[in-house]
Amino acid sequence: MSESWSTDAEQGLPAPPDIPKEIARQAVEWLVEWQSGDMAADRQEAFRRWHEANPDHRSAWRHIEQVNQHLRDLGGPQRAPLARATLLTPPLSSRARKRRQVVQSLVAALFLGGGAWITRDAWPEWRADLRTAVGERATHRLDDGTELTLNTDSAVDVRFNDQERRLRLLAGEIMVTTGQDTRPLVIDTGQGELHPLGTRFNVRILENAVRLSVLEGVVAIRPRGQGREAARVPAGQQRRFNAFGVAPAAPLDDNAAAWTHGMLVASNQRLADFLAELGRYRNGTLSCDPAVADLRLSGTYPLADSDRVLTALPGILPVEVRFLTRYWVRILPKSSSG
Amino acid sequence: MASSGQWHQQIDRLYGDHQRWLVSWFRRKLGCHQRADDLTHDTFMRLLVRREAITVREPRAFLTTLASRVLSNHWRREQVEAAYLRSLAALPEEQAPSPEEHALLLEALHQVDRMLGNLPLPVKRAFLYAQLDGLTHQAIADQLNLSVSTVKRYLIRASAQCYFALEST
Repeated sequence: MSESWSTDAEQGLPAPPDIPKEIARQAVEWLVEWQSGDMAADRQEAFRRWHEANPDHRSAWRHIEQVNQHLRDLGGPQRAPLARATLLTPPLSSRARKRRQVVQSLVAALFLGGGAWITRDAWPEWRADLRTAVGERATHRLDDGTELTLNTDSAVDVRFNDQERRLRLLAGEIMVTTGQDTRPLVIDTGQGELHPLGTRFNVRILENAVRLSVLEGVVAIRPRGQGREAARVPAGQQRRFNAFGVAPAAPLDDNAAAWTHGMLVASNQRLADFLAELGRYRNGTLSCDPAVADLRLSGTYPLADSDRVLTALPGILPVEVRFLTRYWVRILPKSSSG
Repeated sequence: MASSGQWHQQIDRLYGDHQRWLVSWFRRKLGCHQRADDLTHDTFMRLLVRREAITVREPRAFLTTLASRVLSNHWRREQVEAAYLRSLAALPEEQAPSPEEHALLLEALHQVDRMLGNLPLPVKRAFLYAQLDGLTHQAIADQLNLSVSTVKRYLIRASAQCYFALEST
């Protein structure tokens, strides 16, 4: 399986290459010798010959280097003490664990703040009727003629019966162009329901809210906690809402529809915000140094090849792109040496 | 194709028949409903990711084995996170990582922690000095009050496990 990346936190470090044990052992011994601090010139030459001798030797060494890149990120005078203290924690007894758990949740709440809680449905996303993977986009025509496009990493349940046509947006983002039908169409977002009145609109699930952007027609918002219609959004406007209310109207975002054409539009956008957007379309972690977070960029970028977008960044901004692995990318100020 | 369809059906059936049972199994262990839901989800995600054949004869025994692994992984993650937050609290404020670095750093720490597994503490310590601080064997030996040859043995053991999942010799 090439798509071995998953949301499961088990993944991340590269898997060991498929090579004979003996070669792995040799590679480890060379690594330790390199780290000894006093490797003589003739030993370095011997290493070079070993490395050249066999493709398995090279792949073993490449693997070591890849893992070391992960480790390097935890090193340095500032990070190392933190990493050491964390990683040298001995396993706890179960009683101590219970006690600690209470303290820990309090501390975590103080430090990490809210935001990370996504309420999980009893019916998880992977069981959804329609689903896209990270970086994927798919358009479906439903029985009633409604056209439904799913953006990256999205999930929708389709529940049509005699009384109504119900779409449950479980994750991600959709663009809906409604079909002609006498039964009402309802978009259920978890935070509330949307009742479109013959239209084209975009719905995106955000961390603690939902964003509705209306391109044609009108859509009514019914927040879950209010149980009644709280706002009507006309074409050309977008609004955020959650279970408890609706935020003030704003003009349409450039990206509300651009993604359906596979484009990401930035107009004078902060680099950090741009990367957050781009990051939705690729696996792994994409982040930037605070020193470059506020740089601004404009342009239209293809979503299909986000690697290329990243590689092009140093051409337009004073930055440097560090691919620690394919899945772990960090944008740094240009001058910094890596 | 047919087998992949069957496999999905099996997962569906397993989920339908035992999901609630698994949630309450986790809740008994954790005393927390929200997390029980999350870990149940993780357990099924694991099945889904591994794409292994499913033993249907003893589904609950099978799920319990898998769930125990998810649970002990969860405990360890909590413990690592607590240790991280404690050491963070001890840092002067200007050295603390930015909020966006927190998540990255913590995830990296979880990964390395899993990689180090159950190595004895002195072995881990030597490995971290070599990797995170770039100390020479002699410097590590001085730091830990060990002989250089012991340091070397420790480093080979830790590296064999971390890079290639080899048992130590």
